[in-house]
Amino acid sequence: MTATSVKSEGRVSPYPTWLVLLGLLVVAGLAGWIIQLVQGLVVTDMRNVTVWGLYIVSFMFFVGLSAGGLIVSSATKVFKTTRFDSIAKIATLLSFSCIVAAAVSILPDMGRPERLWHMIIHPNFQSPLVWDMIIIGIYAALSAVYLWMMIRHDRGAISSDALRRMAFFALPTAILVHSVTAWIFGLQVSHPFWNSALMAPLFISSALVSGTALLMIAVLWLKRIGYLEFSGSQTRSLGALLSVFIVVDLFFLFSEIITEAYPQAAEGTEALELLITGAGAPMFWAEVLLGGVVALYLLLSRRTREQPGWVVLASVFVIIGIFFKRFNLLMAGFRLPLVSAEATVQTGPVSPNADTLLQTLEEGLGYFPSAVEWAIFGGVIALTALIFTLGVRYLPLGSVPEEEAGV
Amino acid sequence: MAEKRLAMVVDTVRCIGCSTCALACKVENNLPNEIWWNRVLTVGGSEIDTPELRNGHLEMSYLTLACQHCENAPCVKVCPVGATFKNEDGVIMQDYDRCIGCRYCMVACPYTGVRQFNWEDPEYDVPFPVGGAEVPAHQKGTVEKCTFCAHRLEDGLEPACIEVCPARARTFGDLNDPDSEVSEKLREKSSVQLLAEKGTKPSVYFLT
Repeated sequence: MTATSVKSEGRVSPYPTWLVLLGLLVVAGLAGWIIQLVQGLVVTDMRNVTVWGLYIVSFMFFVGLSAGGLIVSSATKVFKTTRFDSIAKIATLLSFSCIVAAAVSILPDMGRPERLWHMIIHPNFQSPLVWDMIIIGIYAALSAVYLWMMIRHDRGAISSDALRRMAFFALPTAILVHSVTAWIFGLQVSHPFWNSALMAPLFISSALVSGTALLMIAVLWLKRIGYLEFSGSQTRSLGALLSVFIVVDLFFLFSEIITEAYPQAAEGTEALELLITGAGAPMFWAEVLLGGVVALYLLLSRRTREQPGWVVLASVFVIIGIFFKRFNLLMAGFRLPLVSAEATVQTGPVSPNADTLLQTLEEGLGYFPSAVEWAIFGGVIALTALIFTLGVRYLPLGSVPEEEAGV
Repeated sequence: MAEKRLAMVVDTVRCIGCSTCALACKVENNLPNEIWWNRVLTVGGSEIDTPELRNGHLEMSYLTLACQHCENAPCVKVCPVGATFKNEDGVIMQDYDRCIGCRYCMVACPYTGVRQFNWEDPEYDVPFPVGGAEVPAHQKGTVEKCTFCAHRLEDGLEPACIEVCPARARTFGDLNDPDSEVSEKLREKSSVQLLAEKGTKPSVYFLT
């Protein structure tokens, strides 16, 4: 988010540089994927026990990030407030970019991506993955149509009522997309810490937290380049909303932890030790302290809550915190195998993380993404930013009249 | 209800932890390097073949671990494309040609490590295929696991791990047939199923 100066005032636009940077990152990600397609998933650090890794974390993360937009923009219509009308379109574009990124994150995780069409010709409707494919498809289509309707509405071609009716569909779909993603894990008895009824509510709250934080960053950036109008009091309101989400999310987390801890049963205690004092601890405490306590302070303190710099910093902490939360959730499950006696044979090839630092991290965490995985993840992030940037550039989404905006 | 319910009974008291079953499986199914459908775990110390102190005695036992062919199989439920399925004899099978390599079955299976993924192109130490001629070719990017030697069952044989066991710890048969050897053993001795509390209803029983 370094693109700050604008053509209209500074004459030098950082826009082309930004596009080239994103383009290069996407190309690097694609290169990583090609290497992986040729050599196999052996180039990742995933193995027969740590079966899923950064790609699935990325999937959960982007599904969550997509929440902020659509929920903020449709909830305002459903509950008939006009507080965030000026950012409704941007919010929906953000949702769309992120849900596309979530879907793209799945592709490199597949051993046989060329067989993806099997999901369509042989779907097993008992599988949460099939539910998720359907709901994500609907969600992506809904957000695209909703965005298009809002643009038409601005030109007087579509009534406010039609828009509101659409919002009634969009809101429950958004809630469902997070629930189904949670159920991919929450319905499984195979890993401690996953099989919890709280999983869906927790995914919804985490999605709202990270999604609203991302929306905040995007909106403040667009305001800075003169694309949007967004007042200090609106910043404060969105910040207050984000704070409520953070508190709810922390409450759910606490509820989950006390439920695991109180019986002092072996399974729960082991998982908690891993999270709170063990390998997951740095990420867990970063999530609670930076993404929770510090972010809340910055969003609520009279001195910082209307200062874009502080609010963006708080939002960045929040997003990193939620990323760590997703990573820990996945790893806590894999780190505690249910059948764990020592085996005579090692199954699966050795890790590609031969570099000393990566090896150390891997030994601590049981899994640390390899260079190829990071490259692909970077490519997915860049792709999201690229879709968003191009949308902002070519679609009439700003609240400042186009001739004045100069973007 | 299926006509047959094929099951395996492993006597942990007789098992000597020699890994012959694991090797026979590897050979019979032409398993690529680093792939093991059946493994021998040491229930004891923190290293293989080491005991632990239990009630003032050093104790150690072995657990041979492969697919449990659950009656209520989590892997079958979660497979998005039906590549993992239960055949009419209650055996959980894997269709390599349909598998998309998402590994959700491996995530959903509580029996850690019995499902194996081909992380790279299958490699072998010998330049020619070994084992059963009808064994399907292993494929990069797909999941595989024990099939109770489905190709041998079709020929009226038992799984390869059964007949090689030097301690005669392993038996195989139909649980729906009250006169089968497995039914008899389960009547005579006390047995456990792994992680029975998870509700998966495994078809592999361990005599204790």
